[in-house]
Amino acid sequence: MLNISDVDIAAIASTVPTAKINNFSLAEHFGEVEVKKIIKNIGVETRHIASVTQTTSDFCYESAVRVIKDLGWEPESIGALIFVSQTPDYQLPATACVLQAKLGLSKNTIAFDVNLGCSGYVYGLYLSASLINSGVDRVLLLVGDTISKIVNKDDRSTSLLFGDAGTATALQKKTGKKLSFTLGSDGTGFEHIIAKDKSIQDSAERGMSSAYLTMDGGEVFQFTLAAVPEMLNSFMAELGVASTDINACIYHQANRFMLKHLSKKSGFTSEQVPLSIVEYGNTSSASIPLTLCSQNIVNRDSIVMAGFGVGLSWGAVYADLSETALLSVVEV
Amino acid sequence: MSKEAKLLEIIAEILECELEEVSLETELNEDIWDSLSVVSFMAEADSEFGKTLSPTEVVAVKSIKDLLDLIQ
Repeated sequence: MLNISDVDIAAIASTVPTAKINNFSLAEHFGEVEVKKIIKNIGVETRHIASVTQTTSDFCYESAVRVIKDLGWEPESIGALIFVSQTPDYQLPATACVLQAKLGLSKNTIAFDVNLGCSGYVYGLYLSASLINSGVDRVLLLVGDTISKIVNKDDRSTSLLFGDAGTATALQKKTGKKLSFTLGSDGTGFEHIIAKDKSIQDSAERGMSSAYLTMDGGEVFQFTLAAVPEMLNSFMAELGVASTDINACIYHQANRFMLKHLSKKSGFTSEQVPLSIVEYGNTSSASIPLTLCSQNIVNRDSIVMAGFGVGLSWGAVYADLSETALLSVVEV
Repeated sequence: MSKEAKLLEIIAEILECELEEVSLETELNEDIWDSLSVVSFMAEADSEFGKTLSPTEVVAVKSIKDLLDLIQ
C-alpha cells in the first residue's frame, strides 16, 4: 500500500456530449432480441456520444473551467496539468500542452499525457498526489475518453457499451488529508483490450481515430474476476477497514453484470455501489469521476475507488471526499 | 440441491428458458452459447461452485454435460 499525506481532492467536475443514443434504438441494426439481451447484461440504456467536431479535450476543458471557477483558483497557481486518456486529440503533441494554453495556465506548468484507460483515474490521482508531495501546490487532473471514435459500429461487443466523457479533478496540498493507493499491471494480457486494427473510415473532423478497438470479453472477465476482488479485499485488510465501513465503492463502470459480481465478492451491498453505466455507458477512464458527479453520494468520508482493465492495469484508492466539491454533470 | 440440479437451474436462467427445457444432453451451439452466455456462466461457476474457469474451455463445450465436467 502506498500512502501520500497532505493531499486533498478539492473538486471534481464531469462533462458529457449533448448527443445521446438510446441503445434500444439499435434493435434495427442488431435485432431486438439480441439488443434486449445485451442491455440486460451490460446495463447500458443510454450513452452520450461526441460529434465529429468534438474531441476528448473539449469535455475535459469544460470540466476544468468549472472546477477552477468553483474553487476560485488563479490560473497561475496551478503547477501541473496531467491529461489521462487513450483517445487524445492528436498522436502528438501531448493534449496536456494544448489544454495548458487553452486554459491560460502559466508557462511554468508541468504538463504531460498518460495513456491509460479503465485504471487511468486512480493512476492519475497517484501521479497528482506524488507531484504535490514533491512540492507542487496545485494539480489539475484531466481524465477523459471519446471511445466512440474508435468503436467499430458492427462490433456488438463494444458498440453498445461505450460512452464519451471528460472530467477535471483539482488536487491541492492540505495538511491532515491523506490518500492511500494500491496499483498493479500485467502486460501479458495486453491483447485482450487493444486498438491495433486500422480504421476503415475516419469521420473525425477534429482530432484522430487511428484504429478500431477490439475486446475479448471472456478474457477480460477472467482477469477481472481474479484480480479485482483480491486487490480490494487485501487493500481493505491493509487499511484496517471492513467493507461495511465503506460509504461507497466507486468501481470503473465496466459493465453492470461484472460490477454486481465484483461487489458480491468484496462484501458490498448494491447501495454501496453507485452506477452511472445505465445512463452514460462505460466511459473508460472518466467513469469513476463521472459516477461521483452523477450519483448523489451523500456520505463520503470513507470512499474506495477501483479501476481495472486495459493494459492490463489496475488500481484502487481510499479517500475522504467529505469536503470535496462534486459539481453537477454538464452537457456540451 | 445436487450440483447437477443447480447447474441446470443456472443454465435455464442464462438461456432464458424453462427448467424443463434443459437437460445434461442439451446441445450448446454457438447460436445460444454466445459470449454473453459464456461470461455469465463463468460468473456463476465462480460464485456457486468456487471454480475459476477460462473462457476458452467454456466456449469449447458441446453440451451441458461438458459444463458439469468443468465444475466437478
